[in-house]
Amino acid sequence: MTVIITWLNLYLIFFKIGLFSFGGGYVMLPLIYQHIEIYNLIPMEEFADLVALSQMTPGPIAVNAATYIGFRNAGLMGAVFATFGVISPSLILVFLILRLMKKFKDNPLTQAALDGIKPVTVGMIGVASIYFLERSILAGRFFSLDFIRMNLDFLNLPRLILFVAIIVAVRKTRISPIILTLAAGIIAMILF
Amino acid sequence: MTARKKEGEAKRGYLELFLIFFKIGSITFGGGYVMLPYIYRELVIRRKWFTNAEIVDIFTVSQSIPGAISVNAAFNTGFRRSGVLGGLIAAFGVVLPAFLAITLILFVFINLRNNILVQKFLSGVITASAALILLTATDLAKSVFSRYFLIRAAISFIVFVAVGVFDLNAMWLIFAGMVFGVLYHTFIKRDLSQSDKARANESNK
Repeated sequence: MTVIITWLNLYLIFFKIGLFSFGGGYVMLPLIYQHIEIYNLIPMEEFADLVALSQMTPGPIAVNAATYIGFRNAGLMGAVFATFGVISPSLILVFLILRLMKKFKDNPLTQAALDGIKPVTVGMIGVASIYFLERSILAGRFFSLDFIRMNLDFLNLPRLILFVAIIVAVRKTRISPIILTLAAGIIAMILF
Repeated sequence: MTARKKEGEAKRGYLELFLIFFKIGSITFGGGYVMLPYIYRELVIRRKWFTNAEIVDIFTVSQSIPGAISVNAAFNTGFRRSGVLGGLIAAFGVVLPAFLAITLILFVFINLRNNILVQKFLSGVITASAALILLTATDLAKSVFSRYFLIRAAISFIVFVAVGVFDLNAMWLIFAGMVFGVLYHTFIKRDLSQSDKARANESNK
């Protein structure tokens, strides 16, 4: 019985995440992070691992996260319920739109609401960026403003070089991000 | 006879839908917008199931509603092609590779997490994630701030501080953003439908 309640809880938590996933991908990381925090789903230090694994595996990050967290909580069935939860809002909403609103995308209300969400998504992906900078090139909390003291100890130099190299590679070459991600992992494994 | 033939065709249709979206789900990493060109190539150019106008409609709806864009697009195309079951099968197909990959990795990973080499590997991958997320953030900021710069930048900054420093629930901020957008375009600037029409005209030319 408790197992079934765990499954249903996972379904509902990820239904909520799916329902508020606007903008897709990295934008939603703070939302997923907060839900992990509130519901105590996985140890917080695993969050960065979860995103790292999502990057190396195909598919939407929200689905990867649902599968990961569901599995860590309640095994295979937990993964099934969480994944089904995160895609349920999509299925229901697309169905309703196709059935009821022929003119959905031209609806000015939809347009206005989406327009209001745009700057929110920028702020949220900003938070996600800081989270990952803190766990890679920065050796402390960004919001503690330690970096203002211009102390070089604040930066992790080898990772900073790797970080800059990846940015240059993404901008100047056509190598796919997945290859770059794997290469970064292998370089770190050998050199750091 | 014909009924049976039809049934066979439908079954083949479902299988084809599943395979197309399973393939799309397996080869696209990072999710979201990456999948759209693949869907376009498979369904419009190769199979001619949809016209350009129809696929643009599908993509616009997929991006306008919450949820993973690829799942939205898969259900939408599957549904239009062969009803609710078709939609479910397409969505199942696009999600399955992600599900299988994470499950398989987890079976192995949980035992390896404390291995020093695995941790070093992950530190490199997380550094790469940081770079990729930062690039996505700057691209997104550039495109969003290109119109209404001041007001949008101010909202982004407020959200950044509210979530980053004060750990305010992101869900409420998304909701507040929707409400603000509706109020703003209803009472202050009624230019949305106009500008969209203008943009639509431009893209039609």
